[in-house]
Amino acid sequence: MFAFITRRVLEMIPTIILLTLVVFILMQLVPGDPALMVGDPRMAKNPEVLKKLREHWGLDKPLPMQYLTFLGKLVQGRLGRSYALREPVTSVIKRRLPVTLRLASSAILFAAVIGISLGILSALYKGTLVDLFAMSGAVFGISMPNFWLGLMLIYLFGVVLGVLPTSGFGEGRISHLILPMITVGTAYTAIITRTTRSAVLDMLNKEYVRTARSKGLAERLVVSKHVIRNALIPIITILGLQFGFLLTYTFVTEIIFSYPGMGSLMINSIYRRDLPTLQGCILVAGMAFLVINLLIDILYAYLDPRIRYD
Amino acid sequence: MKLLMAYLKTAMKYIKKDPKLLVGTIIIVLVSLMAIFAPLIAPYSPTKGNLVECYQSPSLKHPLGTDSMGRDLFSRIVFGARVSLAIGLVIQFLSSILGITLGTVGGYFGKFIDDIIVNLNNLMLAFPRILFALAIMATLGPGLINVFIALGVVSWTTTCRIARSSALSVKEEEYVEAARAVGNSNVRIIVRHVLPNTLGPLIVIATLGVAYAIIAEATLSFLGLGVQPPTPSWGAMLSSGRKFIYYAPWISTFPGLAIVATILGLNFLGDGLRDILDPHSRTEGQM
Repeated sequence: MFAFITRRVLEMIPTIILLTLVVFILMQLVPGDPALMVGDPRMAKNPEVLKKLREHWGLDKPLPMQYLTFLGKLVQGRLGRSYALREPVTSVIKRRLPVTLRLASSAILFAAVIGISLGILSALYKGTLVDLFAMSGAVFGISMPNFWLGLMLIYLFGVVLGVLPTSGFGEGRISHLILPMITVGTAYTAIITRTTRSAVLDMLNKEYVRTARSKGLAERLVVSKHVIRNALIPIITILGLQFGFLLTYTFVTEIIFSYPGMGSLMINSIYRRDLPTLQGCILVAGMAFLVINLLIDILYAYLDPRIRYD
Repeated sequence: MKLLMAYLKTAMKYIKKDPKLLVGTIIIVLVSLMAIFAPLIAPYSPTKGNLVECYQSPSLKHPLGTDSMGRDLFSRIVFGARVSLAIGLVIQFLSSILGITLGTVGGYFGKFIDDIIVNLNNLMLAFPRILFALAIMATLGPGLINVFIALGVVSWTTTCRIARSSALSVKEEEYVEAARAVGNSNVRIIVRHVLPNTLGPLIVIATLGVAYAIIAEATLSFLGLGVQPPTPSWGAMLSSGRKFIYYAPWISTFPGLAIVATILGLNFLGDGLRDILDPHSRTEGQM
């Protein structure tokens, strides 16, 4: 197991370097002179000031040098200063990241609990109304753009019923978390429901399940000990594969609900042309994605020992 | 003509058997007709508004109401079908070309070309597509052409993987060996023998890919980074209604319903086609 984890971590290194390179190149391609964006536009007319600004931000050095400087600072955890917020990007992200993590993890929990139970139910009662209901719900969940779902929830719960707050973080109160959580989690729930259903159906046809039944094991035990445990592997795989969905949904949802997390930070930094912040957000999001994939791989290898020896 | 009738007959046979396929086909045909005949269907101009009539709730005169500039929502949604379908198809076309070319070339020739392509593909898969697309959009700026570029660049990976694995398995077949033995060129073998055998799964992926592209465009437009006003894109329309959700909820509701219906249709169609063309695999789209 240790060897497997070491190998997977080492494999990540080239990907991380490429991520930094891609981000660096993209930032170079942004039209407009970064020196002009930093300062007061009135000062930009003065060539002396511009030159000073370029020297100050290291913009006068050749690109490979700038990349190495960027990498060096990155290793020390320095992401530069935000143009718009006038503070180090690292400290902004430190404040914003937990908010997003809280939203994302509650959405995963919500999706896993509802998705796995619905999936198991619709597999066990295949062809019944329960199955039909769960499956049509799942197709709807996948087909719904989540920003639309978010707006509809705001209208229903915020305007018509007036029972839940529709905007802001609310100092972390649960009531402020509910609507964003449902908005992020719905499509994920749908995917998990579908995967669970087909995984459980697969397992129900396996010979060891027949054996377990024929030796007289109670159906409840057959399902919990043999079927669900084995069905977890494909479910976890799909959780990992679709993690990009979750990230996207979280970002968009934060914008809709004015939720002060990484997503709204990133999108707003695009609007404000705040390149250091944007760059920091992309790097952190990319890294988070890689780390999650690593964790999922490890979990996967733990559940299915065959993977480790590939 | 006879051949076309035969095709239609076979298609009808499958559609009768699978209600998903039926519903999907009906929805997509309706949306396509709406897009093609938009000027005939829409009662008003999609871009010219009448400020006197702004924020009207659905009525006989404006079946789906009007938006903040007094434009008829129904007309905008009808014209929006053009934008969304065109974007979905163009992006899927671009990414299919990219994916099929890279995948087939990699799988067929193998060796270091394949290594490069596989690594590039894994790198793309290592990051969420929309993050890539957002970064590209932030770099290039908003606009229709840039949406094509950003989403085309990030969407080819699934197609590439499937084209590659099909090419890999087909290339060992005896008929490919025979074709090579009689002196066919590599290009001819790829076009005549390898590609036709990978078509089934690729059609399924393309159908789901169009759905993905439409949602991705709507997301970018919703964030204000996609199609710019006054072009009636469903995502942008939805976004423009966000500010008015408290007193004019229809501005956001109906464009959203149009998206849901179209995506639902494409998903049904893709699922149904998969059961026919590619019964063994269970590939889901990746975002």
